[in-house]
Amino acid sequence: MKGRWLTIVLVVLLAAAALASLLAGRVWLSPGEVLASLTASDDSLARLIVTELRLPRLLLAIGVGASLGLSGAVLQGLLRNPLAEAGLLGISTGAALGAVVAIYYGLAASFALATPLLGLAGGFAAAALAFGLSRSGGTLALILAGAAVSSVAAAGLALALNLAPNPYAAFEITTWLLGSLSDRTWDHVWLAAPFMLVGCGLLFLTAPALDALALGEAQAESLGVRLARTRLLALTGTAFAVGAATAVTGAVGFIGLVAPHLVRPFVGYRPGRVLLPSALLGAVLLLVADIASRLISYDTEIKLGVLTSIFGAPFFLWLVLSMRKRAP
Amino acid sequence: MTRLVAANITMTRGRKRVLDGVSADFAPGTFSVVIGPNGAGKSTLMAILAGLLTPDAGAVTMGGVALARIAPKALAQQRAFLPQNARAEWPISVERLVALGLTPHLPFFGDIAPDEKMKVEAALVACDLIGLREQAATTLSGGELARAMLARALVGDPALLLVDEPTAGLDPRHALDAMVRLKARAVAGHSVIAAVHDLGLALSFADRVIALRGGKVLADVASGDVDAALLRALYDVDARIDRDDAGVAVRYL
Repeated sequence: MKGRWLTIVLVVLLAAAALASLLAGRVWLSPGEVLASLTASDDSLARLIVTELRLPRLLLAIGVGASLGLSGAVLQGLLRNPLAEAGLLGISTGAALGAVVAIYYGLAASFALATPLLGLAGGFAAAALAFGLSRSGGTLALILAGAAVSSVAAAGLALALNLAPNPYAAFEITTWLLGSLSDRTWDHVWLAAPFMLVGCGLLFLTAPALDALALGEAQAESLGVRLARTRLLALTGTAFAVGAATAVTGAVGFIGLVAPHLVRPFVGYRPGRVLLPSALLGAVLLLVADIASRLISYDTEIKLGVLTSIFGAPFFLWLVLSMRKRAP
Repeated sequence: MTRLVAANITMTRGRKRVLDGVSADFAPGTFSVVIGPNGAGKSTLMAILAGLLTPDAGAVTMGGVALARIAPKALAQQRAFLPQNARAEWPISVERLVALGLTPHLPFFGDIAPDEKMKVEAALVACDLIGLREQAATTLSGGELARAMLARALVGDPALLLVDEPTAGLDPRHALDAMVRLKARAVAGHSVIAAVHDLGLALSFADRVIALRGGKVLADVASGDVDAALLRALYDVDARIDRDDAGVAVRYL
């Protein structure tokens, strides 16, 4: 019952944040202007801002936030590790490396979607590697394999920065790594959306298995859960959803880590029930962060990934401290 | 019927042969207890009988079908398995934990039906958990958790129940309760297999005892036939077995 209320509250929050995201920015629009621009057929400035800039950005923010929140919840349930998220398994780092390779070799200049496409490929490669390395082992093997893959990808990122042909390329790579939703177009939406949808679908399929895993792997298996299949679903789903998310926005941290923790008490800590609210909250958090990144006006734009880290890290610290008080 | 037959089970872990040609036949309506010293292979045998481990050689069949050929969910609807030292990984409520035992009976998505709520209720009552139903499973004492886990295993009314150390950590009253409950399932026509360390409890309630040592079956006898000579061969201790109407007491000399 509490869980249903939570979902309703989160949907309302999401709608409010989505509306605010259409209104807020360098040019403020009134709700009436937004509505008029959506229905009108003229090429007014308001219409251009809404349909060409803010709407794709809004949809991407929802997709990316939901992907991060959902995959964090699935991985935490699967590995029964409160620190788990896509980054722990190297999937977001792998996607970042793929995208950076595209920037590094200048592919992005000649073909705009080269960055997200190579990012997706990087995410898949990382997931496949982590899965392959840990196939015969258990949960710990998967975490260790993910950490190894993540380190290799991070080393690749460092190498790319080191070898950057000119300061401008290095700057471009760094900027991209900070994560941002600005200047994203419908092309990005059409590229990422199918992957995110498929990924989230796969991730949701793990819910019953995650519930049973609350009893540990032996009992879950005895209850008919196919562990290897669940693991494959979780990794493939994360590769699709977070790979696509990272491929279009760059690295955005802490959403996948924090969102599941925030909703867990409201669903009685049931791992399967965490998924939907965690996806919704992830979308809300990312939208709010994106709005904030537009409104905080310094000479340089504060990047989305920087904002989520600045607010996410202290929050996570608080979470750790409060969990320590509750747990023995 | 759910006759469980293990034929010539051999299992090697690393270089050690954990089980060596173990054969046993478990008929419905019997309460079988596996005893033996630490490292005898009891837990490995239980996991293999439950179909969670595949032996290197030999096979386990249920109703004439090899366990490996039964779909995990179909198998889970018929047999429940409770491993040693089962833990809860999240602070879910005791009621939820017990309800997880119904997982193989639920549709893929969807919650517990009203008549299944009754089953959970009955299991909570049977294992003396009504007062703890809302409590987080991670805050239970060892004995309380063991009772909750036993209720989890019983709630699906399995035709075949395998329990590894059901009385470990339980106080005398709850240990007795647990054995009474397992025995009652066997009397009702189900098959119950338990690995038990407490010989007094084991001999008081079991119909049949399988003594395992060094991965081999040392004896497979009715529990009334377990004598001091067998315990000496099994554990290297001298013991006296006193049987009377109240049950069986084993005293180590």
